[in-house]
Amino acid sequence: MTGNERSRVISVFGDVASYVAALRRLQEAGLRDLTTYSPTGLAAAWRFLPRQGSPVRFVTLMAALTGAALGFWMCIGSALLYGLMVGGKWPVSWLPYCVIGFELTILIGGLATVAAMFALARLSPRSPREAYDPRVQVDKFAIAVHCDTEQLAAVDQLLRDAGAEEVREQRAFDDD
Amino acid sequence: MSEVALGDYNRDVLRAFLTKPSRAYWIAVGGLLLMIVWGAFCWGYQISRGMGVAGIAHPVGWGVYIVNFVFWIGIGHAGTLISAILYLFRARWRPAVYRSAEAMTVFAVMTAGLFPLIHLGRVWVFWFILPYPNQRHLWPNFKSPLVWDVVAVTTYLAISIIFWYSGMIPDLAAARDSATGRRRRVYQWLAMGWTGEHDQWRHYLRGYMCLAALATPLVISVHSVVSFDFAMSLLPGWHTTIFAPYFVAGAIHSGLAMVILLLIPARSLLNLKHIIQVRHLEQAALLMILTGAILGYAYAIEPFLAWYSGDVFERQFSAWRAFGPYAWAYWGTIVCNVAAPAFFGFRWARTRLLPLFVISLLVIVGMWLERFVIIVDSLAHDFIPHNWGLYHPTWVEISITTAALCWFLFWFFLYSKHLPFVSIAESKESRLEEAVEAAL
Repeated sequence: MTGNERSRVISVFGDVASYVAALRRLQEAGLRDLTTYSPTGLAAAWRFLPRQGSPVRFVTLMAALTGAALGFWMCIGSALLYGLMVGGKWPVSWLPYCVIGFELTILIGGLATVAAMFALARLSPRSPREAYDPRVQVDKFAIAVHCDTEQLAAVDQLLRDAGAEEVREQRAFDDD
Repeated sequence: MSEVALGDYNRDVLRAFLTKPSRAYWIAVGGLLLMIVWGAFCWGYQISRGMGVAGIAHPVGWGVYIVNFVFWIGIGHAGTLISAILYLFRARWRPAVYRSAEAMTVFAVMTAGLFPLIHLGRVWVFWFILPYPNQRHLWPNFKSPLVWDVVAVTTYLAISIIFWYSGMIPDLAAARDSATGRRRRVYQWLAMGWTGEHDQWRHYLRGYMCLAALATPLVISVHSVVSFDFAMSLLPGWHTTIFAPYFVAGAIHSGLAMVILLLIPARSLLNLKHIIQVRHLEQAALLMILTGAILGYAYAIEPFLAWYSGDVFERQFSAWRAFGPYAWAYWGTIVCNVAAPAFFGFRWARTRLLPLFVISLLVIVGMWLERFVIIVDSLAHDFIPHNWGLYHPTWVEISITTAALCWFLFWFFLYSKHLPFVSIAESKESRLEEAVEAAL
């Protein structure tokens, strides 16, 4: 066994009201090391969770700006390869290049958004971890609270009081 | 939709595609495949014999292949409208229909993408238009609308695919948990280890929002760029500033009609009537009243501007379009695209399946005719009388056009029995968000 020895309490809720009540109580008790599972995102309940935002949008913005720059660079660079004045006009035409610049803004921005989303959410073709309960894809909500072993009984009681249908403990597992 | 329990979404949507397809389904797929093979044969025949086997000839160099290209790109627009724009506006009726509309977009753009290749003749040199670094420093002309078109359509296809797939990930996880055997392994791979953890949801929802924000201007831009193929030229009937909004409105109009046409049989065949309800189709029909009205304005303003401009070429062309040999297509366009969807103003027409289906079918026909009128009429009747001529599609063009429709339906049939037809996660979202707000 490597790393810190930690225990975990896994609770399953049948309705969203008790799930939210449990999150509120856990926040009040100062228990912040938890993993929640739900059938949808439930952004309204994020206020009780330690991590709320995501840097995905910054990746999108940076990639979109890079795409725009790439589009204009490609158009202008290819025009300047043959810098001949035809009809008294400069070979670089800004207006038509806006179309290419715009499309590459969207393309690079979109591809980078998906890549960032997959990387940050750690999505990869693998089996779900052991704490995963398939019922959370249907109509159940789950909270896994990571705590010290001596806190197990208190956390167990807190979750049951909030309305958990099931509570089970995992003592001294490898914290991944 | 409040009568549907949360678990019922999983049970019914998963049952629709995890159960073994019937023999009738495979017969239909086989029939479509047969037509695709026939279309491929016709394309091969055209390649081996030359473009002379198609009806396109001077002065009409762009025939039904380009008509089909514009038509199918347009069909794809409703999917992105419903999935991206209505997502940003939080439209409540969106979750029931957006997944199939997105699938329709992907397959429609795949279909549209074939036609420039078919029209090209020497298809093996298609890569000449792609920008890639090369030793001779030869690049495509980035000032050409045809190059804009390639970039715009490629971007649209790429963004549509990733938007469609991203939206499906939570539902693929539900499919992974319910499927068995080989299908389970496939869904496990596609679900990318999705568990519904908070850390996954927060990155996922932010990313999905960003994709929607990127796709929204894209849907406006793509058909605008397609319209520039025509509007940047000097031909009467093409050289007009109204084309971009006119094309976008028409694209959404035809896309919404196709959504209704596909969903009416699909909701029955997949036993999803309680999830995809008539009121969802009604919302699409209401949107079509708006897009039909925009088209009606465009159809009216074109001859008005021809008259008001005092331009003799525009005036003669406008009169020829309305009363010349292709007048049937011109008036058919107006009847199908403006008059028919106006009936959706009556409640009975948008809440009963038969009028919904018939009017949507008329709109599809009307939108194809509109593209025929725009493309063929202008080329057939330009500035110089001795340059005028008529165009008639040959059996090769008609076969390839029919096969393209079968190609589109083939992919949609496969999708309907192999991937979640309705978004399970998002169907639950609005109800659960309301419950969270109530609990706070």
